[in-house]
Parts: sequence; structure tokens; C-alpha cells
Amino acid sequence: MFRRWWQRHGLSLVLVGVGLSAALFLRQTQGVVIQEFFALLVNMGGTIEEPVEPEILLQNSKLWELQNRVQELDQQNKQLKELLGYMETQNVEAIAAPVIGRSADSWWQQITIGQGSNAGIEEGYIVTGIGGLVGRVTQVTPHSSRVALLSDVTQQIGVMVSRSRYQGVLKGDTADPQFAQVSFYEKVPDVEKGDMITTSNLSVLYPQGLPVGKVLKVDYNAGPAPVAMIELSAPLVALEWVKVIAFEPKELDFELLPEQNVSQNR
Amino acid sequence: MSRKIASPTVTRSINYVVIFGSLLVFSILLLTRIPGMTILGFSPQWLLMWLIAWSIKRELIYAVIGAIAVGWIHDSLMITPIPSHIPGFIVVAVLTASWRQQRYIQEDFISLALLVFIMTFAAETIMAIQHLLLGLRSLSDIWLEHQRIALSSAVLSSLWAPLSCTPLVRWWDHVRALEKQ
Repeated sequence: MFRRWWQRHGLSLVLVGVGLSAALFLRQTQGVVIQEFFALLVNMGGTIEEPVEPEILLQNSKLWELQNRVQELDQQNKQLKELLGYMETQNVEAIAAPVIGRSADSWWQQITIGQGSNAGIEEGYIVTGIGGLVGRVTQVTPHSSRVALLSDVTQQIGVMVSRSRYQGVLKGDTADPQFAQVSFYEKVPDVEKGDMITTSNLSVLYPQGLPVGKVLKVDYNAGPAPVAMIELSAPLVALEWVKVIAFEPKELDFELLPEQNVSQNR
Repeated sequence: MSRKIASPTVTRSINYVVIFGSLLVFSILLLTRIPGMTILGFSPQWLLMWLIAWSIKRELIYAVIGAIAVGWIHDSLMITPIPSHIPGFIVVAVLTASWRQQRYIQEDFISLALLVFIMTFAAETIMAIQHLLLGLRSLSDIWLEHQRIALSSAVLSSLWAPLSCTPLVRWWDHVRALEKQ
């Protein structure tokens, strides 16, 4: 009886099992196989060369000029901090990576970049672009990494007003990825149009002081606390190259509740 | 004709290549944004189209199993596996498989495009409900977002359906015809 049934349905049962477990394997490994294959396809034909066009060359030289100035200021800053007796460990190593893929679904804000663990990228590293913070590496394969953009709904980044140090939390705007909202913790925060927003010193997953955006307008009537509309300084919709910076998430000294654990992708 | 030449084992192995190859191609298409393939920055729901092609004329249980597998694959490509694609995909698979039994769906690609349009809209609605239930966004945000995403991806998916779904549907028709012999 059973043998007959098995002869009729055995093969399809086994195939269903194989198919389902393959899909579950993909899901548990976060699609490493697909993403790696995709990266190989994109990277085919040797290394990706940076585009060299007159306009870009001009931009590059401008960028170099600014970089030089930043380096100079950085050095001065360091010396001043040393004078003040500040201790700081700085990771200046950065890995350049091309953007090779976009989000697979419109409800998520993410990108895939063309460098992975072979280039030294690890989970939790910070991704920046021209203009400022872009996001955070959430998954790494040998030749690619998946990056959660700062405008993604699960990335609630702690930010602060650069001028007045008022703290808030950043939430991506649903209508346009280039804009975001900052809800403040204070009832009456000191924030004005044109203020610069940077990552907060209280942020666990992001280093302090990375430029995020600029305040466009402030809505004081929003409940429970005022909300500022900001324009992100990194052009998230037109990203082509990004810079990955090594960063170790700070240790938390308390247990996260399960519902708080969304941003850590566990 | 070719039906006599192709032996069942050969067709079966080609069928596996078609299944895995099309899944791989569609997963990779999801990650790309080819100019002219997007509306408002949104791209078609490739895996959903695959699932609809799979579910047409298939038994309900196989359609649902396909939905779970494709849902897992889609979840694997996102930064967070929750909210999941599986609930929406299961609804789509059940609707597609049972609508076929009632013979609403014709053979031509226009009704297939219409089917893809409706199903994409349904799947996106279920995704929006999940976002609401998980408290990821406010209701007004979800309402706006849902309209934009659902409409644009439904329009795009149905436009691409003749090119992606129809060949798959035809192929599985062919396989079924061979198996019946």
C-alpha cells in the first residue's frame, strides 16, 4: 500500500523537499549565493574602472582640494585635541566600492556594493558617499556587501543638531528618499532652518559627527515633539561610488527587547 | 513534431534548468535598475511574476509550496527578513491557482497582464498591512506609500508580464502536455 503510494508520489515529495530547503537555505543565508553570483556578473571583465570624463575629473580635483583642506583641519583638530588631553582612536582606512545593485523591493531602502570581505569589509561598517553618511553594511559576501541606507524605515539613527547639540531620531521620508524627518526628544528644541544635522554621540551603530543633512523646515506643531524636515546631504538616489569606513558598533550595557532589535538584523 | 523526439527524462531535466535558471535570472533582475525599466524609481516585481506563471493551471498545494519557496528567496535579498513576502505570495498563489480552475483566465497575454496587475496590487496591499501591524510606519505614511508603490509596480509588472510570464506559462503547458501522453 505504502509502496504504491510512494511510487506515485515519492519523487515529487522529495523534489518539493529539496526545493523548499534550498529556498530556506537562501533565506537563512540572506541570499549570499544570489548576491555573489550577481556581483560576479557585474564585475565580469576584470575590475570596474572608475569613469574618467572631463566633468568628473573636474569634480575629482575639487574633491581633492576639499579633502586636502579637511585633512589639514583634521590635523589641526587632532593637535588641538591632544593639547586638551583628548584620547581618540581614529580609523582613517576607507575602502572605495562601486554601487552595483539597488533595492529588490520598493518597501526597503538598500543598495548592494561591489566590494566584500575580500576587500576587508565587515558587517557593521559605515558607508559614506560624497556629502555624508549613506548607511551601514548589514551583510557581506566575498565580492559584495548589502547596505541599509539611512533612509530605510528600520534604521532609526540617532542624530543631533550640530549647532545646538539637541538630540533627535532620523526617519526616512516615504515620498522621496532624498528627504528625511528628525523627531526631537525635547519639547522645544533649538533648531532652525539651515542647521546642519550630524550623527549623535549617543548612537550605537554609527560613529559620532558624520554629516547627515540640512534642516529645510521645522514643524513645531507635530506631536508628541517637534519634527524637522531635512534634506540628506549624500545623494542617495544617484550614488555610484561609496566609501566604506571600518567601525565597531559600541557595546550596549543592557539587553535589547526583541522589538528593539530590528535595526541589528538579528 | 518535436514532441515525439523529446523523451520525458530529457524534458524533465530541461524543466529543472528552466525553473532554476529563470529564478536566478529574476532574482538578479530584482537588484538591477535598467533605464527604461522603472517608474518613479520602482522596478517590476519579477519574482511575483514568476510565481503567477508557476501557479497558473497548477494544483493548489504546489502553487502554495512555490509561493513559500519564492517568498523565502525574496526575503533573502532584503536587509531585514521581516516583514516577509510570504503572506502576499501565498494569497497570490491561491488566487491564481483557484481562478484558473474557474476558467476566468484565458490563454492570451492581455488577460495574463491584467492578472499580474491585480495580483501585484494584492501583494503590495498585504505588504502595506504588515508594515501597519508591525508599527514600522504611521498609517498616513503607509497609505501614501502604498498607493505609489502598488500602482507603479503593478503597471510595470503587467507591462513586462508578456515577456516574462508568457514564455514560462507556455513552457509548462508544453511539459504538462508531454507528461499526459
